[in-house]
Amino acid sequence: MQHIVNVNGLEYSYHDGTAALRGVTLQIAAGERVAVIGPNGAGKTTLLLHLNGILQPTAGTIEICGRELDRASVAELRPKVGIVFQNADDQLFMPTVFDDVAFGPLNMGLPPDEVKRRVTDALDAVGLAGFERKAPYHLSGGEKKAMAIATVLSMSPEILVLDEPTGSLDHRARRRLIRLLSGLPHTLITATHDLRMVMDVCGRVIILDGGKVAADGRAADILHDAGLLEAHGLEAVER
Amino acid sequence: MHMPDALLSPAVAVPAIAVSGGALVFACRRAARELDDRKVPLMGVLGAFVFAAQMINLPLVVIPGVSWHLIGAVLMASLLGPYSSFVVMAAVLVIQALLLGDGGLLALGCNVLNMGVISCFLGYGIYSAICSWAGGARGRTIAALAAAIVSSTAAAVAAAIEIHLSGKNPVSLFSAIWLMGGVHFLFGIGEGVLTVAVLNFILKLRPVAVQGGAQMQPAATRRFVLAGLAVSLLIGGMVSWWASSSPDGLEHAAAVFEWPERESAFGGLMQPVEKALASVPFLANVVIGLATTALAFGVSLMLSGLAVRRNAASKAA
Amino acid sequence: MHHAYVDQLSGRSSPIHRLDPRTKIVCTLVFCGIVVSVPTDRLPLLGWCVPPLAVALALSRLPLVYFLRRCLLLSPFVATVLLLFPFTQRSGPELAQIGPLRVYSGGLLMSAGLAARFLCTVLAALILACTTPFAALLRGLEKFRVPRLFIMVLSFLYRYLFVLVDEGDRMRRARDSRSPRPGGVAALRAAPGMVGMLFIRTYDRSERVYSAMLARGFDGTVRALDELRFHPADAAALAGFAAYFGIFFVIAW
Repeated sequence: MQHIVNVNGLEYSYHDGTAALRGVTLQIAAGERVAVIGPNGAGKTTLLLHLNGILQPTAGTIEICGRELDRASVAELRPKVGIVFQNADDQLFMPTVFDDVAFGPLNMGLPPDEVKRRVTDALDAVGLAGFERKAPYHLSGGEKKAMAIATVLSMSPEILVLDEPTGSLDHRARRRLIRLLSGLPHTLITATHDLRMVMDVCGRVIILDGGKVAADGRAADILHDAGLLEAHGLEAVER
Repeated sequence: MHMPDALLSPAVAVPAIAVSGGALVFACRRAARELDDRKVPLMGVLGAFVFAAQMINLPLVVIPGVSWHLIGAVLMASLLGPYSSFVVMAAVLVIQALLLGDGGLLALGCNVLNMGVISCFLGYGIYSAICSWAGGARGRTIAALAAAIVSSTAAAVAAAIEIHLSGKNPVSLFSAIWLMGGVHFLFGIGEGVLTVAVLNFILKLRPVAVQGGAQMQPAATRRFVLAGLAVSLLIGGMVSWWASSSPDGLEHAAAVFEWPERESAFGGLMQPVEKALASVPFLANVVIGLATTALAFGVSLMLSGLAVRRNAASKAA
Repeated sequence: MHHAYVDQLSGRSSPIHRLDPRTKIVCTLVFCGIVVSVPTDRLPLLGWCVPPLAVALALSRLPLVYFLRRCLLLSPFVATVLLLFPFTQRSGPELAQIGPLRVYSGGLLMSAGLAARFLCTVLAALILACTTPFAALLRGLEKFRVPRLFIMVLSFLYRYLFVLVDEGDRMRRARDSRSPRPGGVAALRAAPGMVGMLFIRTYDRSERVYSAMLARGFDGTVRALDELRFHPADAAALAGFAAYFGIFFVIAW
């Protein structure tokens, strides 16, 4: 069975020499929902930024949909991996909702009618139908998060990568986001501190600590192993 | 110092729009070539930064209740270079005209000319010249100070001239230049001091941001400065000619541009000085104008010369 | 904040709001040009400029009170000029004497002309800004061949304007809560840090925005969908404007 994401011995160090990732190996199958959890500074965001080529590994390889991700294949593979960043404001940089959601498809070179169709579909999928003419500044935190997901959905990716999706959302917005994520058919990889969300949405959990994979298994198993979680700076979730 | 439409006549506003527009097109092309793809979000977000920074009111401690603020042109020029910083400042001015009503729409030509072209290009010329001749932290301090003072004054003087040429100057040209120039000379000092402090702050925390701008090759810097000097001398000469007391020319201009007799400012304090200048033949006025412009550059050169000698001395020590 | 309110007003709907931004830009600029071209000795001609403003204001359904208040906002610069003219322009009969200062009617007329021109141009620019969403304004400017880079800088500037002004406000509040009294030297001491921090946060943000743009396929050119379309209402507005001021020119000559 070919994995949709294949990371092998991934190493990454910053310009000043600090090692962020020290040999990460994992495989993710199509349709899986995986949560990457771990203490702050474990390298979660760094790992995610490798998945669409924004960061290049100092050693090791990454394969997306069976092709190796390098400078040559980046342009072709990037649309397949949709990353939703931690801070929605950084991701919503066009004057209107429509322009932002259309940014990706336009860069893919799609014709105007197709772009318009994708924007409408993406906004429908996240529950923001009719918001096309609005300015991002006027949206609530939850609406901005939903819109950030729409900007990525419009590119029809195969893999959705989310960095701390529920951070700074209030209870209602969080519940709505969880419902949305549960209903999406894409392969899901999310880095998060929100272990309750992981229970509701993801079937598999990977613990990242100190730039290495410390554990990799079923969500139900890992999330109820208090000892394991404590050892990596995390708090157990009650049953 | 944003001028409204009402203070300008079409004879001044339209050529200014042409000059500023041309400068913008030219600067956009150069900026597109100089920085990489990052420039698009960087310049835009920095424009928002300039806008937000200008809203931070600082107290003029000597006069309670009066506040001033950073303009940011010299800061931008030192970080982004002349072309990109001009594009950023022009964008800020357009937004201010549209969203805040700060400055008229037709007046954008003049406002962009004063607070964009003059502030950024003259500011950058002085900054990079002094930096490449003096070097180091001391050089940067003198460079930013000199750039802020000169560009702030020059922009204000230009505004005074534009208003006078439009026939909307309530006092004599001499008085207007000294009033506007004088006030903005003081503002320039504040701007320079704050710019230096902010630059040092940024250098400590994000040195990568400072590397982009003022690292022109000495040869290119020399060319840039000489070109700027030539342009300033040309303009200085022309203005001196206008301000001269060649009666026929002035009377004719007065009829065309609506210049009835105006009192000089300060209740006539300036009059003796003006009378003295008026009695001198107009060629002498032109020479005085040119000399003043050259003096400004000479002062900067002297300052940088001092700085270089100090640097050399401290290095030898 | 003024800019936030303008942003709100431009999102409403009215016959003026629905006009193509290019129509409004052209009419506003030509109007301002006419206003500043009227010489002071033929000031009553400015009266012709009032009906178009009134019509535009009425049709745009914008709040009158806000507009009147905005027009009364004079920069100290303009106020100084207005106040000086009656005393310094020695033309026309002398009207009064206040101490050592003399008031001349020529100067008074100059001030009146300035004030009237100021009102007309500011109102016109305000109507343009309050009836045209900024994104539409940018599309219109693009059609007038304004450089692409400049349009993009304006776009990002506008987008992050509110975010950064909010950050600046938060910092100002934090500074004020830790200052012995407002307007003191403490504010000056905090200034380099505040401005510096704002810059660094902005710089970092631009890096993140750039990453987000790359993640969605950015390759150096920003593409946009062509959406401006001329309607019969635009033709009618332009024709009416041209006819009205055509008559004005004939009479004025």
